[in-house]
Amino acid sequence: MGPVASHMLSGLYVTLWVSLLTTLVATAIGIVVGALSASTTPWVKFVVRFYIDIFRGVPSLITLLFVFFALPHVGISTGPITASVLGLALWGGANIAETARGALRSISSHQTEAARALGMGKLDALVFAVMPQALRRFLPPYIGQLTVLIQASALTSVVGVTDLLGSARQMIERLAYVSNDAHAVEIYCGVLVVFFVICYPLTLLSDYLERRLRS
Amino acid sequence: MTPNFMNELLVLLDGLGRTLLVSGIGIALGMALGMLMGAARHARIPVLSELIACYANLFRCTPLLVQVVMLYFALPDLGVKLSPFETSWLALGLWGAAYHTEIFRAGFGAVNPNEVLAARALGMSAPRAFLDITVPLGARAAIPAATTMAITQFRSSSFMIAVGYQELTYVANRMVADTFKVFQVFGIAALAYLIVSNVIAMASRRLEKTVAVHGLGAVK
Amino acid sequence: MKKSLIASLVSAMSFVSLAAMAAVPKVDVPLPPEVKATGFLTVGINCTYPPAGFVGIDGKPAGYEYTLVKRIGEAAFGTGDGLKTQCVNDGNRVSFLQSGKIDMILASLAYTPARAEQLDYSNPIWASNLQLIVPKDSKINDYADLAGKTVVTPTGSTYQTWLQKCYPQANLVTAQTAAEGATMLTQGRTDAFAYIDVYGFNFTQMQKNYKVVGTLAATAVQGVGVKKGNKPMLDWLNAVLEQMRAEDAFYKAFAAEVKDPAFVAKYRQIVPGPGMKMDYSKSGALDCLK
Repeated sequence: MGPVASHMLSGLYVTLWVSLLTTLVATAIGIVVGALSASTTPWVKFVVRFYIDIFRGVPSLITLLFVFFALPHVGISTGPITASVLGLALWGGANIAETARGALRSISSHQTEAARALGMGKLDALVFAVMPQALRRFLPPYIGQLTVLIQASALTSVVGVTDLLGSARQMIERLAYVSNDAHAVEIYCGVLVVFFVICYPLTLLSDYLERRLRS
Repeated sequence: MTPNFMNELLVLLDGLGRTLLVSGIGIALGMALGMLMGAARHARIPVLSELIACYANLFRCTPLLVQVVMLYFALPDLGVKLSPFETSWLALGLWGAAYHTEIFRAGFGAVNPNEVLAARALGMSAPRAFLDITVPLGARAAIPAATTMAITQFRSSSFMIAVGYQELTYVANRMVADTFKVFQVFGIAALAYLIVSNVIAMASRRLEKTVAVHGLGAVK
Repeated sequence: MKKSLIASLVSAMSFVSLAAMAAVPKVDVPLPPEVKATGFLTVGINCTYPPAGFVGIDGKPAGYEYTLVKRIGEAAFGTGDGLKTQCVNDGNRVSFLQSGKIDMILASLAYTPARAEQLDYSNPIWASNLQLIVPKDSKINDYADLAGKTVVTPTGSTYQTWLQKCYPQANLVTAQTAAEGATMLTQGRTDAFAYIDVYGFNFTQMQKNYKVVGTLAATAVQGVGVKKGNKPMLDWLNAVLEQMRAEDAFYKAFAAEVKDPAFVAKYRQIVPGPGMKMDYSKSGALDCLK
């Protein structure tokens, strides 16, 4: 089992790396778009709505496949990992943006008015009064989004990234070829366990934050 | 419209039909199981509640993609051999149920306890009160969240390409690999998913209005 | 003393470098400049289709196609680090090629006119045939017997298209990889597994309850794919392949991977060798049996 485990370990590194990059890019997109959703300019609101609705409504796998196949067509040459991260981040960013938007909206406009009444400028009110409160509403579901993103990294095996799932498949292929028993069940169980171990603590963290930050 | 385009459109529609079929069954299964398990958790049935919580955590913290592959290849060792179609709706249902459990539990929990007290005061037994008061009101409260989850299940049917089930995403992927019409094919597929999602959302809002019990506030 | 030492050192070094160069003779056609600049060749390979291309237990690529890939890499940059591989599958390999992430595809790429419009094929390097693996007591003896029965084949292959075209009465199911198709067979969820004859041969060596049946069909003449219009790469590649043909590299790679001499001997007349040059006219990847 040793060599199988070490090959899957390299697959795990890829999964973690892809998850990290996707998280960074998706969070950046999500926060920017979410913050923009508070804008009153009509065309900004339209673009924000459009982006969120499209990329939340289209399955993540379709977005991923589309980005992967479309980039060479428009002349951009990137590797499968970059394309995957971009595709997943577009989808994940829309979800995070929606969470951020919801958190911002849940802070009543009275807060903004009160801040303005105290003499704060429009931007100051947003940054110093609304956002800290919105953050408390934002963090627990955001951590939940992260677990979804990490699990979505398994999709990259469909476009040929040798992540945890991909390397598991390769090992099963090899074992099936040279012996009677490919140990498929055990290997896939191993993959499930790894994902669970990564994801479950995050779920606990999200629950904990929700209890602590309840305002 | 060229005959080629019509042909391709028909193939995509065929895939969409399969997507709808497997999603429909998976959603129904997920909601039914979720309602049962949510009820059990709400009633805090000992042992069962904990087991259900474990189940929910397990299915929510692992990728659906790996779950469906596991079901396909591991179940035969237990003697259960399923076709790609059956594995797909089963996986969608089991995974969805894990989320619906919490959704319905929250729904049941949102029912005003005074309503239940009033029912008990009128002589109803606890199970009766649960079935006649909590479940109907709780289910109504859960409609928005359950709809969101149902739409998520619908979109997740795309993962079933992992077991070779020829739903819309599988068909679109193959078409792009063969014809390279990236924008057209994926564009149509994306549009199909968007339209159906919106139809489900609108139908759900309709349903909410239709079954709303006037005057009886369901939310605390 | 010092002078003779230096002299012997210099002659030793030149001798060694001459020997190294002789190990892999250079081709007359130059290596494409963009490949030369990067210092390595990137090839798209199969990673889940033994014995052609799979991942060995050490995590490194293996298979007879990989042996050929290594040989091509040596022709480019010697035995050093000049070769990089990328696992590809039927869906994404052309995308990888067109985006420039790989320089060529050597992954059981069967010739079809439709594919020839998307990329350029090198001279043929291999041919593989379809056969059926069935349980030993099965009544299926040939493709016509598949009517109403379930047959599984890897997704996206020319075999999938061939079976759909020639035997639509069969209930065709696709698997993501060869192992998954074989698993479906051993689990009894399919009546037959349609795949290349080599795989079937190896499978029945291990699993005594199964047999290989069926006429050799859907002959897929395979080549190496390069980006459409990339003439420098195509010329260099064809020159290397000619060299390999003279060395009988294809047959030797196959024989090294499939260790049954009787079975391997059947391929002598089919694949490129010193006395035998293939051409794509023999390719019947999508032609039904008469």
